[in-house]
Amino acid sequence: MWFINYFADAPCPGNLFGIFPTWYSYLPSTPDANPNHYCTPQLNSLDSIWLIVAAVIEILLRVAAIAAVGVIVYAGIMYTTSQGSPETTAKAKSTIINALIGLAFSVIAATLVAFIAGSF
Amino acid sequence: MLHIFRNIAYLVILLVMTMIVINSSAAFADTKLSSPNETYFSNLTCGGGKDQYGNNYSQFTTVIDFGCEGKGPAILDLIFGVIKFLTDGVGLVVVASIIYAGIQYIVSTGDPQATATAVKRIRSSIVALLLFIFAYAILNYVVPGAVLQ
Repeated sequence: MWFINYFADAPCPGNLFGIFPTWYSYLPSTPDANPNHYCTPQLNSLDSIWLIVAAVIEILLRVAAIAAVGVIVYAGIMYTTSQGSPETTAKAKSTIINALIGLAFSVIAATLVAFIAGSF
Repeated sequence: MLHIFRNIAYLVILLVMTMIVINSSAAFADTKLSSPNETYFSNLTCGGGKDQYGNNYSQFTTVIDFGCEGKGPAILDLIFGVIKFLTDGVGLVVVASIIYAGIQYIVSTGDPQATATAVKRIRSSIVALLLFIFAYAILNYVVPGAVLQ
Protein backbone atom coordinates (compact mmCIF):
# COMPACT_ATOMS: atom_id res chain seq x y z
CA MET A 1 0.00 0.00 0.00
CA TRP A 2 1.35 3.38 -1.00
CA PHE A 3 1.51 5.25 2.29
CA ILE A 4 3.09 2.35 4.20
CA ASN A 5 6.04 2.57 1.81
CA TYR A 6 6.29 6.29 2.51
CA PHE A 7 6.29 5.52 6.26
CA ALA A 8 9.13 3.04 5.78
CA ASP A 9 11.63 5.40 4.13
CA ALA A 10 10.65 8.83 5.39
CA PRO A 11 12.97 11.11 3.46
CA CYS A 12 12.68 14.26 5.52
CA PRO A 13 13.43 13.88 9.25
CA GLY A 14 12.65 17.16 10.99
CA ASN A 15 10.98 17.31 14.39
CA LEU A 16 10.11 19.41 17.43
CA PHE A 17 11.71 18.41 20.79
CA GLY A 18 12.46 15.05 19.15
CA ILE A 19 8.81 14.11 19.72
CA PHE A 20 6.63 15.59 17.02
CA PRO A 21 7.30 14.98 13.33
CA THR A 22 6.91 17.93 10.98
CA TRP A 23 4.06 18.22 8.54
CA TYR A 24 6.43 17.60 5.62
CA SER A 25 8.01 14.42 7.08
CA TYR A 26 6.72 12.15 4.34
CA LEU A 27 7.08 14.49 1.37
CA PRO A 28 9.86 13.68 -1.07
CA SER A 29 12.74 16.10 -0.56
CA THR A 30 16.04 17.26 -1.99
CA PRO A 31 19.26 17.98 -0.03
CA ASP A 32 19.50 21.60 1.06
CA ALA A 33 22.66 23.71 1.25
CA ASN A 34 21.22 25.90 4.01
CA PRO A 35 22.09 24.30 7.39
CA ASN A 36 19.02 25.87 9.01
CA HIS A 37 16.76 23.78 6.79
CA TYR A 38 16.30 20.11 7.44
CA CYS A 39 15.26 19.53 3.85
CA THR A 40 13.40 21.01 0.92
CA PRO A 41 10.00 19.33 0.64
CA GLN A 42 8.55 19.02 -2.83
CA LEU A 43 4.90 19.05 -3.78
CA ASN A 44 4.82 16.87 -6.87
CA SER A 45 1.11 16.26 -7.24
CA LEU A 46 -2.26 16.37 -5.54
CA ASP A 47 -1.25 13.07 -3.92
CA SER A 48 1.19 15.00 -1.69
CA ILE A 49 -1.82 16.21 0.33
CA TRP A 50 -2.33 12.71 1.72
CA LEU A 51 1.31 12.52 2.79
CA ILE A 52 0.79 15.77 4.74
CA VAL A 53 -2.38 14.26 6.27
CA ALA A 54 -0.37 11.18 7.31
CA ALA A 55 2.15 13.42 9.10
CA VAL A 56 -0.68 15.30 10.82
CA ILE A 57 -2.12 11.95 11.99
CA GLU A 58 1.21 11.07 13.55
CA ILE A 59 1.35 14.46 15.31
CA LEU A 60 -2.22 13.93 16.59
CA LEU A 61 -1.31 10.46 17.91
CA ARG A 62 1.58 11.86 19.92
CA VAL A 63 -0.59 14.71 21.22
CA ALA A 64 -3.15 12.09 22.32
CA ALA A 65 -0.50 10.09 24.17
CA ILE A 66 0.88 13.16 25.97
CA ALA A 67 -2.62 14.38 26.86
CA ALA A 68 -3.45 10.92 28.27
CA VAL A 69 -0.35 10.97 30.49
CA GLY A 70 -1.21 14.47 31.73
CA VAL A 71 -4.84 13.59 32.48
CA ILE A 72 -3.87 10.38 34.32
CA VAL A 73 -1.37 12.29 36.49
CA TYR A 74 -4.08 14.87 37.21
CA ALA A 75 -6.54 12.11 38.16
CA GLY A 76 -3.91 10.49 40.36
CA ILE A 77 -3.44 13.76 42.25
CA MET A 78 -7.23 14.04 42.54
CA TYR A 79 -7.34 10.49 43.95
CA THR A 80 -4.52 11.26 46.41
CA THR A 81 -6.15 14.40 47.74
CA SER A 82 -9.68 12.96 47.85
CA GLN A 83 -9.36 12.27 51.63
CA GLY A 84 -11.62 9.26 51.31
CA SER A 85 -14.52 11.17 49.81
CA PRO A 86 -16.39 8.58 47.67
CA GLU A 87 -17.57 11.24 45.24
CA THR A 88 -14.05 12.46 44.41
CA THR A 89 -12.57 8.97 44.14
CA ALA A 90 -15.36 7.96 41.74
CA LYS A 91 -14.63 11.04 39.64
CA ALA A 92 -10.90 10.28 39.61
CA LYS A 93 -11.56 6.68 38.59
CA SER A 94 -13.85 7.68 35.71
CA THR A 95 -11.26 10.25 34.60
CA ILE A 96 -8.54 7.59 34.40
CA ILE A 97 -10.84 5.13 32.63
CA ASN A 98 -11.91 7.77 30.09
CA ALA A 99 -8.30 8.70 29.40
CA LEU A 100 -7.42 5.05 28.76
CA ILE A 101 -10.48 4.55 26.53
CA GLY A 102 -9.61 7.65 24.49
CA LEU A 103 -5.99 6.51 24.11
CA ALA A 104 -7.18 3.05 23.04
CA PHE A 105 -9.48 4.58 20.41
CA SER A 106 -6.66 6.67 18.94
CA VAL A 107 -4.08 3.88 18.89
CA ILE A 108 -6.49 1.20 17.60
CA ALA A 109 -7.72 3.45 14.79
CA ALA A 110 -4.18 4.08 13.57
CA THR A 111 -3.07 0.44 14.00
CA LEU A 112 -6.13 -0.95 12.23
CA VAL A 113 -5.54 1.16 9.15
CA ALA A 114 -1.84 0.27 9.07
CA PHE A 115 -2.75 -3.42 9.44
CA ILE A 116 -5.50 -3.41 6.80
CA ALA A 117 -3.47 -1.33 4.38
CA GLY A 118 -0.46 -3.58 4.90
CA SER A 119 -2.45 -6.71 4.02
CA PHE A 120 -3.20 -5.53 0.47
CA MET B 1 -13.09 23.09 38.11
CA LEU B 2 -13.31 20.39 35.45
CA HIS B 3 -14.16 22.94 32.79
CA ILE B 4 -11.15 25.05 33.73
CA PHE B 5 -8.89 21.99 33.52
CA ARG B 6 -10.30 21.00 30.13
CA ASN B 7 -9.85 24.51 28.76
CA ILE B 8 -6.23 24.54 29.98
CA ALA B 9 -5.62 21.18 28.30
CA TYR B 10 -7.06 22.47 25.02
CA LEU B 11 -4.90 25.59 25.31
CA VAL B 12 -1.75 23.48 25.79
CA ILE B 13 -2.63 21.33 22.78
CA LEU B 14 -3.26 24.46 20.70
CA LEU B 15 0.09 25.90 21.83
CA VAL B 16 1.94 22.72 20.87
CA MET B 17 0.23 22.65 17.47
CA THR B 18 1.19 26.31 16.91
CA MET B 19 4.80 25.55 17.82
CA ILE B 20 4.79 22.64 15.38
CA VAL B 21 3.60 24.94 12.59
CA ILE B 22 6.15 27.66 13.47
CA ASN B 23 8.90 25.05 13.71
CA SER B 24 8.06 23.76 10.26
CA SER B 25 7.69 27.17 8.63
CA ALA B 26 11.42 27.42 7.88
CA ALA B 27 10.95 24.86 5.15
CA PHE B 28 7.86 26.60 3.83
CA ALA B 29 9.86 29.26 2.00
CA ASP B 30 11.61 26.73 -0.20
CA THR B 31 8.58 24.57 -0.91
CA LYS B 32 8.12 24.49 -4.64
CA LEU B 33 5.86 22.91 -7.19
CA SER B 34 8.11 20.72 -9.28
CA SER B 35 7.22 19.13 -12.59
CA PRO B 36 4.95 16.13 -12.11
CA ASN B 37 6.87 13.39 -13.85
CA GLU B 38 7.83 10.75 -11.28
CA THR B 39 4.57 10.26 -9.41
CA TYR B 40 1.38 8.31 -9.72
CA PHE B 41 -0.43 11.22 -11.34
CA SER B 42 1.37 12.18 -14.52
CA ASN B 43 -0.99 13.46 -17.22
CA LEU B 44 -2.24 17.02 -17.62
CA THR B 45 -4.40 16.15 -20.63
CA CYS B 46 -7.94 15.01 -19.95
CA GLY B 47 -9.72 12.98 -22.62
CA GLY B 48 -8.59 11.96 -26.09
CA GLY B 49 -8.52 9.08 -28.57
CA LYS B 50 -11.29 7.92 -30.92
CA ASP B 51 -14.80 6.70 -30.12
CA GLN B 52 -16.51 3.70 -31.79
CA TYR B 53 -17.56 5.78 -34.84
CA GLY B 54 -14.01 7.01 -35.49
CA ASN B 55 -14.67 10.55 -34.22
CA ASN B 56 -12.06 12.20 -32.01
CA TYR B 57 -12.94 12.78 -28.36
CA SER B 58 -12.48 16.38 -27.28
CA GLN B 59 -9.49 17.12 -25.03
CA PHE B 60 -8.48 19.76 -22.53
CA THR B 61 -5.38 20.36 -20.43
CA THR B 62 -5.41 21.25 -16.74
CA VAL B 63 -3.04 23.45 -14.74
CA ILE B 64 -3.05 21.12 -11.71
CA ASP B 65 -2.51 17.42 -12.34
CA PHE B 66 -5.81 15.75 -11.53
CA GLY B 67 -4.66 12.29 -12.62
CA CYS B 68 -6.34 12.15 -16.03
CA GLU B 69 -5.41 9.23 -18.25
CA GLY B 70 -5.66 11.15 -21.54
CA LYS B 71 -8.23 8.89 -23.17
CA GLY B 72 -11.98 8.59 -23.45
CA PRO B 73 -14.53 11.34 -22.86
CA ALA B 74 -12.79 14.29 -21.20
CA ILE B 75 -15.31 14.96 -18.44
CA LEU B 76 -15.42 11.29 -17.37
CA ASP B 77 -11.63 11.14 -17.41
CA LEU B 78 -11.46 14.16 -15.10
CA ILE B 79 -14.18 12.81 -12.78
CA PHE B 80 -12.52 9.39 -12.39
CA GLY B 81 -9.15 11.04 -11.78
CA VAL B 82 -10.62 13.11 -8.96
CA ILE B 83 -12.45 10.06 -7.55
CA LYS B 84 -9.20 8.09 -7.48
CA PHE B 85 -7.43 10.95 -5.71
CA LEU B 86 -10.18 11.25 -3.07
CA THR B 87 -10.33 7.46 -2.61
CA ASP B 88 -6.67 7.43 -1.57
CA GLY B 89 -7.37 9.78 1.31
CA VAL B 90 -10.62 8.49 2.83
CA GLY B 91 -8.96 6.12 5.30
CA LEU B 92 -6.47 8.76 6.42
CA VAL B 93 -9.15 11.38 7.02
CA VAL B 94 -11.34 8.92 8.97
CA VAL B 95 -8.38 7.91 11.14
CA ALA B 96 -7.53 11.56 11.79
CA SER B 97 -11.13 12.16 12.85
CA ILE B 98 -11.16 9.14 15.20
CA ILE B 99 -7.84 10.16 16.77
CA TYR B 100 -9.24 13.65 17.34
CA ALA B 101 -12.28 12.05 19.00
CA GLY B 102 -9.87 10.03 21.16
CA ILE B 103 -8.21 13.27 22.29
CA GLN B 104 -11.67 14.66 23.11
CA TYR B 105 -12.37 11.50 25.13
CA ILE B 106 -9.06 11.80 27.02
CA VAL B 107 -9.59 15.45 27.88
CA SER B 108 -13.25 14.90 28.92
CA THR B 109 -12.12 13.97 32.51
CA GLY B 110 -15.25 11.97 33.30
CA ASP B 111 -17.75 14.58 32.10
CA PRO B 112 -20.57 12.54 30.49
CA GLN B 113 -21.54 15.34 28.09
CA ALA B 114 -17.99 15.64 26.72
CA THR B 115 -17.63 11.87 26.30
CA ALA B 116 -20.98 11.83 24.47
CA THR B 117 -19.57 14.37 22.00
CA ALA B 118 -16.50 12.19 21.42
CA VAL B 119 -18.58 9.04 20.92
CA LYS B 120 -20.80 10.92 18.48
CA ARG B 121 -17.74 11.95 16.46
CA ILE B 122 -16.43 8.37 16.36
CA ARG B 123 -19.83 7.04 15.29
CA SER B 124 -20.11 9.66 12.55
CA SER B 125 -16.61 8.81 11.26
CA ILE B 126 -17.44 5.11 11.05
CA VAL B 127 -20.76 5.85 9.33
CA ALA B 128 -18.89 8.03 6.83
CA LEU B 129 -16.40 5.22 6.13
CA LEU B 130 -19.24 2.70 5.58
CA LEU B 131 -21.06 5.15 3.27
CA PHE B 132 -17.89 5.56 1.25
CA ILE B 133 -17.34 1.79 1.02
CA PHE B 134 -20.90 1.19 -0.22
CA ALA B 135 -20.75 4.10 -2.68
CA TYR B 136 -17.45 2.76 -4.01
CA ALA B 137 -18.89 -0.75 -4.38
CA ILE B 138 -21.96 0.55 -6.23
CA LEU B 139 -19.80 2.67 -8.53
CA ASN B 140 -17.66 -0.36 -9.35
CA TYR B 141 -20.81 -2.38 -10.03
CA VAL B 142 -22.33 0.26 -12.33
CA VAL B 143 -19.10 1.15 -14.17
CA PRO B 144 -16.85 -1.94 -13.94
CA GLY B 145 -13.13 -1.19 -13.92
CA ALA B 146 -13.64 2.56 -13.76
CA VAL B 147 -12.12 3.14 -10.33
CA LEU B 148 -10.67 -0.18 -9.20
CA GLN B 149 -8.04 -1.29 -11.70
